[in-house]
Amino acid sequence: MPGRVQSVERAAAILRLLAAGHGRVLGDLSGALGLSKSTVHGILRTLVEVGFVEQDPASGAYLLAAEVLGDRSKPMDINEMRSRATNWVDGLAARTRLAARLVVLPETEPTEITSGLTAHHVFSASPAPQRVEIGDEVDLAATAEGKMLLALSPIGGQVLDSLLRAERSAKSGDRLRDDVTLTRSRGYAVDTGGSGTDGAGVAVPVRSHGGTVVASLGVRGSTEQVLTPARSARKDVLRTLDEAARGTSHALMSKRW
Amino acid sequence: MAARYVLSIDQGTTSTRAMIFDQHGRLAGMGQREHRQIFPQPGWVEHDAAEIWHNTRHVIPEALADLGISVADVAAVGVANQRETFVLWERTTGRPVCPAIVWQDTRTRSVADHLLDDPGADFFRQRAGIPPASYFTAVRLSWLMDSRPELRERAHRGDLLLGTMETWLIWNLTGGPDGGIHVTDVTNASRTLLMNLESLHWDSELLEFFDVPRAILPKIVPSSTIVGTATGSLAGVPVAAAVGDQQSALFGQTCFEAGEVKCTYGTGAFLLMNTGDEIVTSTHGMLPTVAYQLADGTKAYALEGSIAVAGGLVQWVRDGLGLIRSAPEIETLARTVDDSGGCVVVPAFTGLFSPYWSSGARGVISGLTSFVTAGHLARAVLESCAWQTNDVVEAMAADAGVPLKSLRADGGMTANHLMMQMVADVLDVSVVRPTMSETVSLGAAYLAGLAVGYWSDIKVLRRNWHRAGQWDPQMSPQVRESQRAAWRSAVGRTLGDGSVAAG
Repeated sequence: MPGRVQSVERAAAILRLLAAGHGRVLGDLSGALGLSKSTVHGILRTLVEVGFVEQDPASGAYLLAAEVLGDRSKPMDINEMRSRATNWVDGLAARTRLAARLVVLPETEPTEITSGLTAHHVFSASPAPQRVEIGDEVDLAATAEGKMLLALSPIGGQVLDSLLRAERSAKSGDRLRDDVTLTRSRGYAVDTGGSGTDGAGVAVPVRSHGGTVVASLGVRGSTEQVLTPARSARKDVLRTLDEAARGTSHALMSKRW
Repeated sequence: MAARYVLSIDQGTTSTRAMIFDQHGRLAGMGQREHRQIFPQPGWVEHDAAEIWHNTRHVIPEALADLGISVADVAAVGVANQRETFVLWERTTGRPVCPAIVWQDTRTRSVADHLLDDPGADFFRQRAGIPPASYFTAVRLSWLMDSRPELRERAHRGDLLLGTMETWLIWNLTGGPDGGIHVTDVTNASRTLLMNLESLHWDSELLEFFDVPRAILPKIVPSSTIVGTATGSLAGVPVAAAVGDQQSALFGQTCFEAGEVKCTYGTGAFLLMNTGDEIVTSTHGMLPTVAYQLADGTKAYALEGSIAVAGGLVQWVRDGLGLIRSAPEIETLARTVDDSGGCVVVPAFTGLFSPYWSSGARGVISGLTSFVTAGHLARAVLESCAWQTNDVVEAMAADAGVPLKSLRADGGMTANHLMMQMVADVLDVSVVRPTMSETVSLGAAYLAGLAVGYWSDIKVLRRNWHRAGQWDPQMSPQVRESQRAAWRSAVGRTLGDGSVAAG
């Protein structure tokens, strides 16, 4: 077993110092900890990047970010998420000619969550009438995007347990549990329609700081458009989807404009 | 092997971008660099043209590297640009002799007001189609040469060249002092107040009026035509398009038929309606302009209406009022309530543009009661974008004599789902948004690609247009009419005409 991680210890010491005061400058922190300025600066830069620390542009002083001061870190506003993600989700739909959807879990207690929420939706290239589904609820057990969130979101396990408690048929409960396990192991989710959804879907995770899964990004079309005959995701679709998810992650993590 | 991409340069007000598009009109790679905004005095806005050319030379290889292609893969390059901004430079050295004076610069506002009285707006309208205003090039150019007589003298001697930003970039791209091609396109020339809108040639009377020597003027060419061959990092690539940014967005949205309208929502908003090969003169405060001209001479005109403050109002809610942390959060705030609670916001921060053209108008928040919360105010802010759009659309429809069938929207604010629905509700037509929101860059790419045969015709381009979303009207006529009455009453208050509607 490895010992304690030195950089984490140092980061904790910095956070403790920042929590005690009203903003401290680099030299001050370096003196208090007996560490070189470059070491402290490197740790501070990482803490700023993950959103735990903010730097006052006027004085240069470092402060704890509002996010870590609250009881629970506040997730990104759903409309801001759409605005940041739109170029990547649009591009995904344009490249695949499939409908694309970005789905999140609603901001409430895990045990109260019964469905996902559509943060963004882009039409497929089909001329058929389509409706903007932004803000619509998403079935967590029956869609690729939903299963992805159950599998990898930090509160996905709790949501899954509460969904399974409400599930009356043991058989379909087992099927969902197997589906989520398979999703977790292969890193993407698949659905083959049913319960009011047409065609088939594939979804991958969208990650934020530290790899936390904050949303799932999926495409939907006819079964042949997204799945192989063996019912796994088509390689070309998955590649485009992964690229768009990485781009979306990057857009969500970049500094506020 | 045939070249696989077209490169587009978007020389905008705040940055210069190079974007590479594939055969399907999809963005494949890009580079971007911002330039300084120089404010020497209140109301003055300048750019450094040398800096803009320097940035252009950087973003081109950046975009090529982003996609991992070489210059041999580029079939053509096109330029879209901020309109009306101009610079003068030395023919033999390429050195600018003045700052680029930007379209937003208001130093000549009183000069323009004076021209409205003498010789009067009609003198200009009959020739250029547009009235005198400080943002049209000739007014600022004439001021510059009046305040620096040595420049007028050097201009008359033929030492200097004049250009809007596409002219400056193309001259440099094609060799600069060493054989650079000195051209502008019909859309950019239509915003100088020096081109005759019917003949599409420089107008002798306007040149004489502003005392602009012909020797400094670029040749006017179609928006889509091979004007020369690039040197430097694009060596060998045909320079095949130049077009003003708003006209480029109209083309990028594939609004090729008369009656088709696009609206770009940014800090302000610009609506353009294709009016076909006829100039539609406006009696409702719209500006007739050239939409595009293709290499075979096919041309289309447009009516343009502009809204000074759209996204800028949301920025004010964020920075001025501090009600939201980021602009998109306005939608979250607005969704905390079902309506604006009777509150109406008219953002006449610096006067009202189309169709009112009142520089003296000042903003109004009407219907304030203690019932109104931040949520109601946020909703009223988004509704004001919809009603301002409607004012322009109604004026355009009246001028063109045809009602609007649908609106093609683009720009950052189209990510606001609630506002898009409001626009559809208020206009009572469908609003559609394309998957390619970078319509300014795409338009110039299309025009360049057409000139070199990368795309065979405009029908092919239409097939590239892919609908990302569509919002259909859901508002009842009663609600629409009552909102309309409240909006009109509030606009009346900004104009100070005392028309306070009852009830």
